[in-house]
Amino acid sequence: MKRLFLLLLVLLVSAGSLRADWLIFKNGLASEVLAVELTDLAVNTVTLTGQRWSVLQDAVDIARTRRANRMSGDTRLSPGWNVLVGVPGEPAPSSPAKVSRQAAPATPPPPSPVPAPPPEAPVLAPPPEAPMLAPPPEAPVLAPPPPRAPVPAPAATTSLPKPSRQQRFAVYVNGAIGTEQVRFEETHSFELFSEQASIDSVYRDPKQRGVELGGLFRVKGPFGVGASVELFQNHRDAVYSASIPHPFFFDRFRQFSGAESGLTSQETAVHLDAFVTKTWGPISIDVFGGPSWFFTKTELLVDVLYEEAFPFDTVEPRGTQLQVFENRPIGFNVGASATYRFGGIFGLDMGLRYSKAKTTLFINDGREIQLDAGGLRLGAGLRFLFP
Amino acid sequence: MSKTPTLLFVASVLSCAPPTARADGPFRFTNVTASSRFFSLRNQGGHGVQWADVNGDGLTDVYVTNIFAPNEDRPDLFFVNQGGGVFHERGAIAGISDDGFFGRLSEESHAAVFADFDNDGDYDLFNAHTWSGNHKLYRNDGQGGFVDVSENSGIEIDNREPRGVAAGDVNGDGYLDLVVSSWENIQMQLYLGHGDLTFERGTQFGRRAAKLAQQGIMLVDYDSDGDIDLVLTGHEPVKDAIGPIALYRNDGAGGFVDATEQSGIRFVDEGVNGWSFGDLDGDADLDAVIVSKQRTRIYRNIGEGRFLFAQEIDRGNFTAVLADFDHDGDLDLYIGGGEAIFANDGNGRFERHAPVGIVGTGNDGRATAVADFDNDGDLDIALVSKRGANTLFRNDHNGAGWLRVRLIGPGGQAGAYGTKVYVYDSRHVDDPNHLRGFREARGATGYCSQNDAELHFGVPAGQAYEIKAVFPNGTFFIAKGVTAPARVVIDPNAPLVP
Repeated sequence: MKRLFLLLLVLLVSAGSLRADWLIFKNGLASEVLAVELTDLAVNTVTLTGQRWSVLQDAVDIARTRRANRMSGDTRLSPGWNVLVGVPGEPAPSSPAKVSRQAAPATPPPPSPVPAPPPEAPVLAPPPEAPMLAPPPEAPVLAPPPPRAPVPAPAATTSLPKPSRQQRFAVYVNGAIGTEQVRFEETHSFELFSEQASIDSVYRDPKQRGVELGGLFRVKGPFGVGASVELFQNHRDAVYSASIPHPFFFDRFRQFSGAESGLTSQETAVHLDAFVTKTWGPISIDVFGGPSWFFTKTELLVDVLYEEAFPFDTVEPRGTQLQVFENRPIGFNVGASATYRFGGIFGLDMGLRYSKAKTTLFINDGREIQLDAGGLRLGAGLRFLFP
Repeated sequence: MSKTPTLLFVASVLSCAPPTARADGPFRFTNVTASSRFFSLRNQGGHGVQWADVNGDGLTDVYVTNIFAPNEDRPDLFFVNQGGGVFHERGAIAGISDDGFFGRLSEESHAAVFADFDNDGDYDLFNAHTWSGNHKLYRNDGQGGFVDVSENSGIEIDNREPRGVAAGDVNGDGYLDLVVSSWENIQMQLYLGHGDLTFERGTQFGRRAAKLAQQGIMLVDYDSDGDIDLVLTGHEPVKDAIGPIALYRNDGAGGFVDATEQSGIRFVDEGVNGWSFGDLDGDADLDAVIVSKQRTRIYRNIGEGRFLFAQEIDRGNFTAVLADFDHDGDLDLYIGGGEAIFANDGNGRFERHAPVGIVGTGNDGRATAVADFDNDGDLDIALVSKRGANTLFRNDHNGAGWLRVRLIGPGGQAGAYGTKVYVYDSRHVDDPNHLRGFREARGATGYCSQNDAELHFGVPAGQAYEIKAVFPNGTFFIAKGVTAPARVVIDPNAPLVP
């Protein structure tokens, strides 16, 4: 199973041109995975610190690679895609695992007075005190077979995006959808002509669609606060069936049914959240929660209208009586979001939020209807990150 | 040979024994004439009494038509119910005292009737003036007062010495019509109402009625065919064996056919004063009570407009009122002017009880009518006497087993005269085995009398019932799940509400 997963991982990374950091959850533990593409490089090194890494050199022989390259410290990567898997349970690094790729110079470097180690042998990199882990010029590097020359300073160093932890402020705008169709029923029973009349209403919302606007401010370390506003508006459908006792005779109910569409269903939610952020390279995960204030506008069918005439054996439906309710319930929300920062201040944002508040609708005739505001919603959009 | 004569004979023999008097009956009354302010120095010499909630306040008011003795020139009195069992006489203020002072004695009248002639939901008043024929028609102004609309009403000013008056929809047009009986062998009058307080003369009646010096008159569907028939009593007996009575069956179009002989009723006496009709035996038809000065006879309705003699009571006067005084579910009998209540045994036979409290009945009682004037759920009795004080007896039964039904007709008519109301046990509507009571709403009863139009039923308390009202136009209305005690309004025009 694990093999299949890793294969899938590599395939996913290989399918794109971007480098990616991955966070794998397995058995409740997190493993970090880095996929690095090396192309036409003569010398490649990777500095692995504070964590033991397995290097998967290709997607084909995963098992072999894992066995062969389970190591820590610097290691050498082969051209093509390399997948590094951090083994869980190891001591936490003082800084994230640093993977650097050093490209070979366009022209052969001058001969190095220091013999280069065999190409297949890993060489130790300098201590990883620099955040950008380009190897120092004096560090031995793997050079492609001849010519053998000292490795100059890299002509170009490519690094993964800075960890988003360094971004203290972010705003985002997401489109959001409800993950489940809202459907609820309401039965209104009342005594009429010494029997129980009933009006059963079933409400169905189309898939909830809305927008979410918000901002985050990282206060200290991984902790921060945020605020967001969700706006949802739908047109709800209602189907009703009524059972009206006969005014004269027992057990002789008159029944009819009908439908109403386009009932207003609006919900504005203001969420105040505390959040914790975990960052892996360009990817950051926010887990948040806090109180929510809802402003709801709900239109419900509160009665059915009908006409009847002697001898009252049937009734003629004449529409419905609707009532609009405006409420301001207070509830909570929890959720998580993932952001991939792909350059500059821009990032892609995807999140899942569950919010809930109980609201009571008071109908003119004294009835009360309990409804929930909020729900489980999935959002995706843009995030703008600022230092 | 038909079995009917044999049955008639047997029934006659069985009924010869006079009812036994019992002093320990369930009937308890109090003479509240004074405390209720029904008493007035002028409130004597009454001939007619009419109950109705004239001002729509839920309290039944009462009108007394006065005439003749011991002193002439007495105004008609209108007692407005103030609640708490107290009346204030407001005849002059309301404009219906018809005072004949300063020599206009001819304004005195035997009878009047409250009826909603214009279908506006309140009771108008027709007062038949005995001596002048200057009949008065008053429109209820909805505020407890009346407006004289006699001039253009189409009712003739004709000195026919009217006695009884009754209102009912005889031609089925939804508007109340009016009948007036006449003394001294004068043909009675029928006025067909147009619903706007105007009338036109209706059909002429046959020879039988013309030969009677007419007394009490009633409009009642005694043959249960859905239209309003007419019954009449009179004095100066005719020479045939039937007696001074007349029954006219409605032909369905507002015309009347003399059906006296076919009715099977024979009441030969010098003078017969009043009819009463009610379901005495619980079979959902109207049995008959006829009162003469000397006796009262009970006739059981056997269908198709025919009756069978059932019982004779050796007490009589002018009016016998039928009401469930003890809430046992059947109609008891009070003969106006007497001091006894005749309790129904449930099968239409009566047993005399000497109730507590019916004392001081005046002298020469004439009209008597019932209403629950104190809204305590039982029926009280007003009695007017020609030569004595008019009196009011409060029923102190006070049991919780009652239903009161106020009717509004399909056209908005207060009282919905002619409507039949059936009370069944709950969930047993139309089941004769669960019939708790049957009444017919009507505008007059007996001799110059009018009971409150709010129908009263004695039923076991705490149980649920269904009340079915069948209106003269054939439509019906059922009130379900009514738990006694209760006052129920049946109004087919109002939105259906529980």
